[in-house]
Amino acid sequence: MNNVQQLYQKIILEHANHPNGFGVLESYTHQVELRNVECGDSFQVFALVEERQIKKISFVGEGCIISKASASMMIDSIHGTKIENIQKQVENFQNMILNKPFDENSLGDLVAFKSLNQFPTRVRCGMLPWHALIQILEEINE
Amino acid sequence: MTKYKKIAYLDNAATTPVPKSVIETINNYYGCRKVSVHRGMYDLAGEVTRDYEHVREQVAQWIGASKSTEVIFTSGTTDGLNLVANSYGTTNLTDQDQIIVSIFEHHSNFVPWQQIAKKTGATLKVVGTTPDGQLDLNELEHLISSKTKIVALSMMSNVLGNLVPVKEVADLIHRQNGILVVDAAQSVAHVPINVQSLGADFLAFSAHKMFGPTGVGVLFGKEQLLKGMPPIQYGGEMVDQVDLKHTSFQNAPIKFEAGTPNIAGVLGLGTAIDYIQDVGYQTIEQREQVLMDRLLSGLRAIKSVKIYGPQVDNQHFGVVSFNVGDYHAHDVATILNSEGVAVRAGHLCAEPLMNQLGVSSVVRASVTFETTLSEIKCLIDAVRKVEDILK
Ligand SMILES: Cc1ncc(COP(=O)(O)O)c(C=O)c1O
Repeated sequence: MNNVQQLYQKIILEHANHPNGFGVLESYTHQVELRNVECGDSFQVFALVEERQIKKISFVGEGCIISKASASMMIDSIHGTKIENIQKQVENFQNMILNKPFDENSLGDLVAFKSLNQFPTRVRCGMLPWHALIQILEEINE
Repeated sequence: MTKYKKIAYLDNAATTPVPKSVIETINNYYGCRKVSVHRGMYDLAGEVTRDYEHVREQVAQWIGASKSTEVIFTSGTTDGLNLVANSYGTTNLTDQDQIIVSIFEHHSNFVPWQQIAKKTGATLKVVGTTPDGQLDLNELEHLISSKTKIVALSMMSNVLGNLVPVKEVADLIHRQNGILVVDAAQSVAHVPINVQSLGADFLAFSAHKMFGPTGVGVLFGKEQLLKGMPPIQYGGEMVDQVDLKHTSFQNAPIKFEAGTPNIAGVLGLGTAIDYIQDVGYQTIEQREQVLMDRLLSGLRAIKSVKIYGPQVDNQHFGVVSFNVGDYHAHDVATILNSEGVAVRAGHLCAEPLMNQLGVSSVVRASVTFETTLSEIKCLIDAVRKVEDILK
């Protein structure tokens, strides 16, 4: 596989075409909208947070393969997780994207994004849903 | 010419390469002539000032201005359009007036008018396009009234690539005693510009989109209009007399050129004009049509490609925007990049148009007359690979 095939590997295409957690939650405590200023794509992330735990999380929006797959995998990986641990997961994913040491085992399907750091112009797309999540974490910790 | 290493450079609508002669002019200024203009009492300062002012005359002749004092040096198109909006707009607009722009304006000819409308209470109206991306002249005719003070229009859309019938628009607005502001950023590298035959009251362009350096551009303004306009930046060079209570200003164009100008840029612009004149617009247009024919027919042959703007030949002046199937433009551009093809993808600073087209982003390929057929082939071959990788 060359780099670009690695980036658009099967699992990423599958998540993008059939994203998990796509839709608006019936009830939620947090809602964040983020835009990628370069392409005008925008994502809304919804979260139901109770007892410092993400009970439910979902997203809606228009985006490229990278941002949609990232959102889908992010939601898989943090569903039902305690807030304290989400912070770690965010950092872990960020480290992988920035080519720093990271823990592969806790990332699940997200390791498919390992080669994203070779596409600096696309890092923003991969991080878009995560930035929405970070904003939710900030709201929770306020 | 700028040598792009190992890529097919098809982002010329963003900025063009520069020829060796322009690089030499700039190197020569920085290498052995770096003095300021207008003030020095020594020979070299006089010489550089003469060359600098010579470019003003050169520009005036090139675009058909009646006097070189109608030529203001700016930092680029954006700077020039903001100058008109802030100076002319602020002094001439009231809450009874209207400004008209088109749906396909670049943000730099849209946002300044939107903001000046908010500030003055004027109404901003937007004229649309026909289904094939041409300016809707009928709609414009209906929109224009005696309340319309300003029509601000791009001569060529940086997304759709077709030319606007500027002269017809000028006649419409002049009949109502309004003025026409032309954004020529995208057209200047492709077709000749003559402010008289276009009927432009103001016209702006950037050197970097016409084989010149970045950070310098031109605003043409009719003498009569410039006379009544206040400066929007104050400082050195642009003043006449300063005392503790009052300051009087120089006449146009100097009153709009506060501070030490981009001297290397202006000299480089002059050499870029020489370059274009040596080649000639006729040759430029002929070569570009050959390239665009190949580009458009290559794209049309790929079933999943949707081309925006005119669907007929000879209407895209160096620019074509498209999408591949339902794939996002950034995913497509990433694959083109991996094949060594440099294109632009995104909303192209034209979000109002994207909304009308019903897409969030497009891929844009753009050429100059220097682009090669093998670069076009690289693009077409790469576009053919997109579906294989993404499906
Ligand atoms: C149609 C159009 N207008 C204005 C501009 C702005 O030019 P500059 O960024 O050089 O000020 C551009 C450049 O992208 C353009 O394509």
